[in-house]
Amino acid sequence: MNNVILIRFSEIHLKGGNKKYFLKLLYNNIKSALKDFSCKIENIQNRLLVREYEDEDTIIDTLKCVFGVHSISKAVEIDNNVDIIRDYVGDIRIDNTFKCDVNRADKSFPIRSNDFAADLGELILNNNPNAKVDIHNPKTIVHVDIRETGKTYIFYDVIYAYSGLPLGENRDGLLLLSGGIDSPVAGFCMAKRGLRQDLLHFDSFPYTSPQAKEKVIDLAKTIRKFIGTKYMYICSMTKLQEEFHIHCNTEYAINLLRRSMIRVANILCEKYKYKTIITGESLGQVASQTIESLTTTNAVAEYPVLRPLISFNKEEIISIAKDIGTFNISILPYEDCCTVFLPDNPIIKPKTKDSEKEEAKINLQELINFVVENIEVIRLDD
Amino acid sequence: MLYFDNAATTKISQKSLDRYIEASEYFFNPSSLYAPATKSKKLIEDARAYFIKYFKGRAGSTFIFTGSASESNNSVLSACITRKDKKYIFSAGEHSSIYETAKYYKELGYNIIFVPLNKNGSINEELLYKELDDSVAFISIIHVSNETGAINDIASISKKIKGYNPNITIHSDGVQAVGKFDFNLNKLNVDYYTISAHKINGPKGVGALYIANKDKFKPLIHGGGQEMNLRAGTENLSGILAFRQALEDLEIHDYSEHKQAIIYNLSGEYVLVSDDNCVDNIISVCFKGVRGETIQHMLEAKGIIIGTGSACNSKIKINRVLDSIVPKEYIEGAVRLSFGGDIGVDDCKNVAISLSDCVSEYIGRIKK
Repeated sequence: MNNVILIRFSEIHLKGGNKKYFLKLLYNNIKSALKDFSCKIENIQNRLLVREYEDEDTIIDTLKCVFGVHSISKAVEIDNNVDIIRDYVGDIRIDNTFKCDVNRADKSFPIRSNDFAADLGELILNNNPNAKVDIHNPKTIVHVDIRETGKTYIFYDVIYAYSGLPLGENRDGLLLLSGGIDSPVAGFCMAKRGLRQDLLHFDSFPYTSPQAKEKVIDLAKTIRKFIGTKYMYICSMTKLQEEFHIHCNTEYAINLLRRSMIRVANILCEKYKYKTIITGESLGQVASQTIESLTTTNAVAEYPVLRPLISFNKEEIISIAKDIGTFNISILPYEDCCTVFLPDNPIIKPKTKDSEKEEAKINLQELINFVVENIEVIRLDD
Repeated sequence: MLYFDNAATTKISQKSLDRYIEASEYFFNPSSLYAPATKSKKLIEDARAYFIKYFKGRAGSTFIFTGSASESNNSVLSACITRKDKKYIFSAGEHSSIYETAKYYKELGYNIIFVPLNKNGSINEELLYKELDDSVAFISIIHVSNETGAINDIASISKKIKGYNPNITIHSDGVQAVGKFDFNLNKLNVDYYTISAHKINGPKGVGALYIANKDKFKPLIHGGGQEMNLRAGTENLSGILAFRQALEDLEIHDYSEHKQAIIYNLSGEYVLVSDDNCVDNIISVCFKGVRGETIQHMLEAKGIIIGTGSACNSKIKINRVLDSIVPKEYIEGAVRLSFGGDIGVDDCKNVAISLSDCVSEYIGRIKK
């Protein structure tokens, strides 16, 4: 009898011919997530197993952060043998309502699932005077998973993870990460669909504080385990913001800044082969996130801009931020953008033509090149 | 690096640090009864006697050692704010460890009054005396403002208050006053006085509270009976001895030339908050049209560390002390220059020039 951690996956079984590819990704991602633990990972039919481990709860917490993992159970592994299974179940102590749930993947096992569940249930009843069967709402479910590998797994609790698809091998996405609540959540949401991402942060030192940058680095470190980040780019927009502030219509300050952010992202995508840009925008949340504002920022995008939070309410975003541990960092007071550059009345319905007219007042291309040349690259995977 | 933020904290002196390390190796619990522990206890009592002598405390007075000046301040308020039918008076320029604690008591239903400030940040004495009536039980006035360096004449204020009613308890937070000029607690005629080690080149994590009459004091922290039953918690021997060392080495410098060098070299549109009635080494100045925090970052890039009066940040509230005495359009541009040790007049001049240059550069960079 061995103690094991049983890992079930989501969606992968739907992938037909690509199942092997996704399974391999998941296996590698789990291996990488558990690289600091002493344990063995094994691929059995439609399940992954962790065995010979020490720190069970920490391993489970780590596995919960791996996308593609549907659920996790602490299980015991015994042979597919009626007597051995009955012996084990006979020793189980239950003082409340329960049911037995038998899954017979091994069709050579001599007793059918329902019959065996009834048999084991009776065994538990006989050995536990306070136990009662309740098939609808039991306090305890005794799961008996009889696999084709010749091994049976018995477990009680099912701990759910985030499901989704395993992170891809390549860092295909570039997440625009601010110090706010939304963008880390956007990165998380896209990673859930398998998109590995690096990060691009914009600061405006000395108008913002070094703590604002440190805060974003903390955010990056927090979401790294979910989104598989290796590099974080920090781009100072100070020079651009000053030029916008001096020469352009103040109402357009944020609109022009966001268009410039996308232009910087375009250049990084081209240079480092990212295939998409991710932002934390949510429709109508602020002036720069109206459909008209998004249209003007989209107009300069040379890569698809994914906005996973576009339909999310703030409460929904906050709820995820709390769950993934970014909320308490995001609400620290250090802001990304000094109020000196925030217009009192930002344009709500900008027109691309007008944005272009404003941009024509300065030497935009030269300034974009300047800020890109001065990007600081931080490697986060050490 | 030119460090001009001594009002925030000072660098620990080598002698104080050495004393701290040496005492840390002497690990015995001062409350234990074996000989080495008894020696620890004696060192603390010697330090206490030194503090009483140094500050010329009244006969029968004592000091208790605490974990910080904030703790000392909280202890005083906890001991003195006891009745809802009494009035408790504070200057509006108190340090946050007094101000926020007083606000907390106000929320609990106590009669807490904040007296407005003069233009330099000192208490408006006229308004203070108007508050005096039979119900006043306690008054707390900061000795030197941590924001502006303004000196409150505690001796004269105490004289008037005690003349009105000798039973009114007086506390003063002297964290920024120690080492700035000569004074003695007997003459100040206060019942409580708060001091801190890390503002006088001592270590962090140790403060002290002067208690004129310990029979009237009730501890904030109860426990094992340390500090004459007035403040429980295993004594911080290293901190206390390093604090004593810092006090022994304390020199009062004449920084009047330094202050003049700074004021003379400031340029641009600004309000100088710190006037002649302020200590010479805390200078609060508010520039128009800039943000103090941005100026701080710009100076940091040039190797100059200064303090700010308020943050360039909408989530942090505007500085409550300056807010009440400086015109609105200058508030965001508040910076504080505070210095100490053997800083040179030329250093002060250079800092003022760099500061003015940064302000001018800032305005130039965003001028439409």
